[in-house]
Amino acid sequence: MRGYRVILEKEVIELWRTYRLAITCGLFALLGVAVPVLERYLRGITKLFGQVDPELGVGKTGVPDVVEALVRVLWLFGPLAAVLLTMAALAGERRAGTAALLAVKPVSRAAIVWAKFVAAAMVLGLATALAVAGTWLYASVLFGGLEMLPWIQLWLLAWLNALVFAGITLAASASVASPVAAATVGIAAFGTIGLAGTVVTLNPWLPTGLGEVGQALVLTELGSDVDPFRTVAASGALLIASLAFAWLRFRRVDL
Amino acid sequence: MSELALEARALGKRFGKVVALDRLDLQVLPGERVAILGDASAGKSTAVRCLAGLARPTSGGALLFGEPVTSRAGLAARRRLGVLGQYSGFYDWMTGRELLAFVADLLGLDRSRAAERIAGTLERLGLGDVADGRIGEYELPQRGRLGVAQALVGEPEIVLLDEPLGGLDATGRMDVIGLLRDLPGETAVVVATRDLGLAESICERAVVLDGGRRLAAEPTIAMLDRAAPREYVLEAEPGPGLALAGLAARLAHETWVRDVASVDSTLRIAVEDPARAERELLPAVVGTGIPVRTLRRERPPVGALVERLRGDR
Repeated sequence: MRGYRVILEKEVIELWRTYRLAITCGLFALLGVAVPVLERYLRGITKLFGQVDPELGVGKTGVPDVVEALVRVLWLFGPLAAVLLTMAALAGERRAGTAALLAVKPVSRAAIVWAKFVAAAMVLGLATALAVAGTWLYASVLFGGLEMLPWIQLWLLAWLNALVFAGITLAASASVASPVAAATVGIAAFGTIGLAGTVVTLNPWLPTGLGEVGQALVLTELGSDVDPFRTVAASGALLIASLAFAWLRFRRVDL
Repeated sequence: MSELALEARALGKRFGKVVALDRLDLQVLPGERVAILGDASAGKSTAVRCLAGLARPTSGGALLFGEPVTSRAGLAARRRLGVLGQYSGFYDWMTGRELLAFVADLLGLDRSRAAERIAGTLERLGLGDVADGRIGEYELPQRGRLGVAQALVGEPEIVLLDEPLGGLDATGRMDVIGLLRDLPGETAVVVATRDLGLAESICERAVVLDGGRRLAAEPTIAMLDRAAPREYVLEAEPGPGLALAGLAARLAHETWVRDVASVDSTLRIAVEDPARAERELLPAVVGTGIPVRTLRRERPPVGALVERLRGDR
């Protein structure tokens, strides 16, 4: 892909100079640390405000609670960060006239789309890694030593989940001329997939099912009803389809 | 016949039912300077965008050095092309120097050689002092100059410019016109503009578009002298309305004057006989005692050229 390396380099510098890299990673690192700390001390914190109603279920907490909370956080903030990072990737450049600046150079449009996606993927990968690492570290300190490999698997699944929404939003960004419209599509996809994920038979085929797989992997509760390969393959297929759509749209769009 | 730098073959572009460009044929040889003239919505920008590969034509095609501009081979040929689009944007977080370095990287220029070339281009366009400032803080004329700089930094063999003087101040206009004139003789230039003065300064050949169709294609000076001869423009200091009206009435009766138009404190005087105008206009103006701000000769607006060419058909 002609021009890919140069555009990717520009994307990474842009993410750094516009503070998007620092803000996203900082936020996720904070979330990662906050999850085990809050789970460990929630009972004590709530007690500060008076007697705790047993029906609230704030009893003794452990690693399963931490993992469940982390999955909830990552499967909410991961897609939102993905939408925010990619909404203007192509639509914003078209609107600002910078897409035309690139497209008249010896650069393929596939290189532009791919560089945009890889740059967003790098930030999302780093951010989710920081969140998972923070949780693993503090959960190890607060609840005892934890094996690292399943947590790495959980990170990869959280990353894939975020990438799916990055791919969908990028495809929207290639199709519409407004970043807000692209974000609307990304958020709508997030809502729709979230709703569809509440259907038990559909969930294993959706990115929401990746959270269930990750949770089961960390807690070594992977039963016969959970098929990680099916869920990963389905989400991977959705990601590839989104990127293919983004490329097909962007290569034909007038700039 | 040598290889064409740029060619449009029955190039057409429709937006729904609207025909923006209708079967444009254009051939540009290496080193040739061609103007695409026309009023607003004539199809100039659409033509440039199709020729640069930014917009897909709905009919016909564009060839860059013999290769379809949107093909893989055409992509490689873009190394030899410099483009300034009418609405080209820049990355505001970059500095001017960084933008040119980024463009040089995209063109695959050697970094050490590119640095020299970038510094030279920035200096020639009067951007040396702000080269390391953020583009977001540039004023409009500086952005206009930067647009020209990024089109020329790769020392292209053909330059495609859409309204390159847009947003520039008087000094910027002179700098850019000078820079385009000084391009190496083998560099082809295609400039889409409404500015007949720019076309006349740079281009030996002009194509006039009207409603997306080619209205005329002739040597620039001959076409302009025939269809858009220079007019005298007299700008008076505000105030002497009656004196100016009197001068306009008097000039209108002169046989060497074709038409006099008056707007506020400005008179546009179209002449039939340039030699007599040269002799008689200045004494006539001085005789009235009107305080004159400027008296200059310039081409009429492009609309007048188009009107005249329509009438010729």
